[in-house]
Amino acid sequence: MKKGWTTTKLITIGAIAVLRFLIGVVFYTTVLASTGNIFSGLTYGVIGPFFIVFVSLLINQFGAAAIYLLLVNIFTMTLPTILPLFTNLFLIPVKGFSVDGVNLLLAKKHRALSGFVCGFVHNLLDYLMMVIIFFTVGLPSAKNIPSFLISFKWITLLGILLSVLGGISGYLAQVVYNKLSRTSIVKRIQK
Amino acid sequence: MIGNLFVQKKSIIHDLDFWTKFVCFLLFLPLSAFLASPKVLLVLLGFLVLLLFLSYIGLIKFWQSAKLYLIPLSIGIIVLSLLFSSGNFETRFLEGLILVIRFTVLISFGILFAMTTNPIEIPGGFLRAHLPHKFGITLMVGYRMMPLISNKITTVINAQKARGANTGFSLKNPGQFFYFASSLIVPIIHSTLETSVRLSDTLISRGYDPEGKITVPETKFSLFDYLIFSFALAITLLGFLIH
Repeated sequence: MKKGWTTTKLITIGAIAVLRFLIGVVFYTTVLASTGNIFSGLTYGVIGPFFIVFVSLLINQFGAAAIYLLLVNIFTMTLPTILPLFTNLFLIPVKGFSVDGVNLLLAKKHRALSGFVCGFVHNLLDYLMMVIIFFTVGLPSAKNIPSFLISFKWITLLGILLSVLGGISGYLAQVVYNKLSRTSIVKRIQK
Repeated sequence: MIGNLFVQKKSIIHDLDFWTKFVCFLLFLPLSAFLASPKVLLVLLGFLVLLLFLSYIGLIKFWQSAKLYLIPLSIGIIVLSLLFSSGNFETRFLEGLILVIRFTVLISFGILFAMTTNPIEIPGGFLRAHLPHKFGITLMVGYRMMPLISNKITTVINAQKARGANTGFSLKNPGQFFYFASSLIVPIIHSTLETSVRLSDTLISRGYDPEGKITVPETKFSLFDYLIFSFALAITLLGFLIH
């Protein structure tokens, strides 16, 4: 595997970012637009870690996840969605480099765990950022959250649930990657 | 999707530099989401209308793009506010209404940005900011890939349907839908990877080198760039002061 960034690797990251964006558009215009934000946590908590873990496993190079996140957010910028830029601008380097770092750390000795842990870390960081924003500046829909949910017990429980969901999604990404890893196309990308 | 949103026109707003539009959009995002008080929100709304008139897009065309997002979201927010907010009916409805205005302003700025910014301006803007061109090129190719990958997804779905897959979602048997969705993942990802390799081969064959030098377009800020940016900055400062 070449150490540097090849054109094929960069274009592949772009292609997966496009795929993630297109799936996001479908969810946004169908599920989220009709149900408000009820399913947004669930859908973004599953789709987000799946693709980022897949990119990280496929490219297996430090910075791949960060580039992927940057591209997804730029693509999303041209859509009238609320989520993309503000929170993610701070999160792109943190999330991307964390996922890449965890993947590279676990890739050699604990390959089987890599997908789960990367997905877990991704969602945990997402959740922590949301909690920090919630308590520092307040979210636009914060008043609509039932008051019993704003307690340490519930915040921790929701954080664990969302992180485990991310872990499961990351594990699924690893299963898909393992299925594709022996194909000629993946070998060609990793060359 | 992006091609549908962008409206090709000759106007002051269309001619603004990418970075002016982008920074103004970034300033207005947190402002309309949670920083601005209701009074500043009205100022923002006025500024939005002014920008809309200057862009020559037309209210009807703008509404046609916006209604898909605004109508369901507004109904959802009002219902959630009535269900979960505290106080009497009037207070809960008013809270919901303010939230609706916030989201309307927020989404409208997003739509205006998308309608006045040609997607090709984005990688160009990044190149001018002296970010490594390999990322700009990736972005440019990404935009080119959107219709290709979208077609691939449709082809895979149609192929699965032709094999007798049940695509409908039923509450009685939700597992069936997830089984169908899972049967799409591997072929869709595989065809996406194939598309990316083909496109990168084309780039390589034309001599593109991610580490090589590239000509960067010149940056030119006009008087309107400075003027609109100053207005945006003033509104942001006002939002912070009154908040």
